[in-house]
Amino acid sequence: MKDTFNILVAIIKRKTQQQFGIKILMAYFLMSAVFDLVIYFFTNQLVDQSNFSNMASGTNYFSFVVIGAIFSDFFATSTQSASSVLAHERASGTLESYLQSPYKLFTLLYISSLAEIMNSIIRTLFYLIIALFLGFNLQLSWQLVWVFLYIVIAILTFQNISIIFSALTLIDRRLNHVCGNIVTISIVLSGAFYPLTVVPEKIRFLFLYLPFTVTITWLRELISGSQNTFGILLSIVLLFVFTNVFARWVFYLCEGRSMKNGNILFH
Amino acid sequence: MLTLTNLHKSFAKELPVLDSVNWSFTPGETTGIFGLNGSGKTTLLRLLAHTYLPGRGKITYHGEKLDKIKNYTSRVAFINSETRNLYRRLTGAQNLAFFKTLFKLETADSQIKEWLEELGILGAMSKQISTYSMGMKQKLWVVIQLLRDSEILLLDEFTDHLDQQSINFFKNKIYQHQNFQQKTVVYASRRIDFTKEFAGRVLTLKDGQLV
Repeated sequence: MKDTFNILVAIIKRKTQQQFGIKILMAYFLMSAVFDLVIYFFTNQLVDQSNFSNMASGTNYFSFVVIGAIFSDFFATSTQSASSVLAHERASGTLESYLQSPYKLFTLLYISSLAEIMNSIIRTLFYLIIALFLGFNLQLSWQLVWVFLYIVIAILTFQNISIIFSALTLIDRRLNHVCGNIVTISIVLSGAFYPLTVVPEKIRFLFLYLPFTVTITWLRELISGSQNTFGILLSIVLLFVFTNVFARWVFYLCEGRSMKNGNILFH
Repeated sequence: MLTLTNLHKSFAKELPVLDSVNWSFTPGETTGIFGLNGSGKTTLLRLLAHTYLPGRGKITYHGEKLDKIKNYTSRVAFINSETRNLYRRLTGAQNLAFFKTLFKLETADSQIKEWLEELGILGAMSKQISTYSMGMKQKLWVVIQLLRDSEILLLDEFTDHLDQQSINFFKNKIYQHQNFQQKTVVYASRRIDFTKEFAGRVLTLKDGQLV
């Protein structure tokens, strides 16, 4: 555990040292966050609020869409972070040293991809803090603690999905594009930007059970002060466990295959 | 003892790179593998490093299959002539610090400093790797790998960018190591003179066979 923590710190440190102009980058992130929020705020003035007033997820379009937009942005970045780390380490020639270390490639990739999305995590939290207080008029309470706990577990769950995608790119790098399309489709079908009640009932089941749809629905329920806080937290933990076990299985399978094919080092 | 039994390796549906290779590498001995470009030297070494898996046959270390040995990869140092092993945007010192954590190196800083000084790169440790020459990068990489004090040393054309003084320095570090008798060293090269200079026994890799 201590060793894993040490390597986590070392990778984050390395990432920060490698990042060129980190202050400018952070300023850009914060500025783009403010611009997005302003756009959603004014769009809110144009939208018929009656569609949202009865929803548990929020009282107006602003609160509804901000949560969706933030999370979908984060989902898109984080689910592809492990493949992006893998591509970078392969292309730069440093993956071979990962393979010689005492750590499993799975662990190193998981940690590296977490370090990769540090900027996104900070940006998402910044968005959320503003959105929560502007859109939901939230008070500081235990509910807010559960919301943040939920977000942390959701981030780790997305990391598991990211590992599954990277495992596929270990076998064939072209699968990276397929995974990118899966992410885009998942976001479009998730109801991040529109309530799923507007989707025709016959095809709604296609939308409802996607991992991203589920996590975003739970987040909205939690933020709006759902009575079922424990149930939602338990569900996200179970989803995390399931995706983690599945990710490990897929990763080891694909790692073995690419070692056999002899393409593990090449992108 | 690192043993290859009926080892076979091919990529995709191409002709086999290695075909029915049998050999045992003995600890305390340096085995040289000479072969022309594309003869399969690097592939063989990557199989020994457990980076690749064989198509058929098996590799055992002290009688156990490599995938059954816990932390086998951390017992192996694979040193190639690639100069891309280090992070270009980091300084030499930052790279060293990162790889010390990655490989769990416990070597004292004073010893590392001594080595770097002898190799003439101590003064460049605060500079970015992108400003290093090929030889400087190679020296730093070989230092990191040798500090791991691995049981198995796989040297793949690692002298390519090094001057004679540095080659002698590394040779001394390898052969005069107090535990050399427990170490298995395999040196692969496309140059027969280098191979003979480094290794006690020289094998030739030709048409996928070790002779």
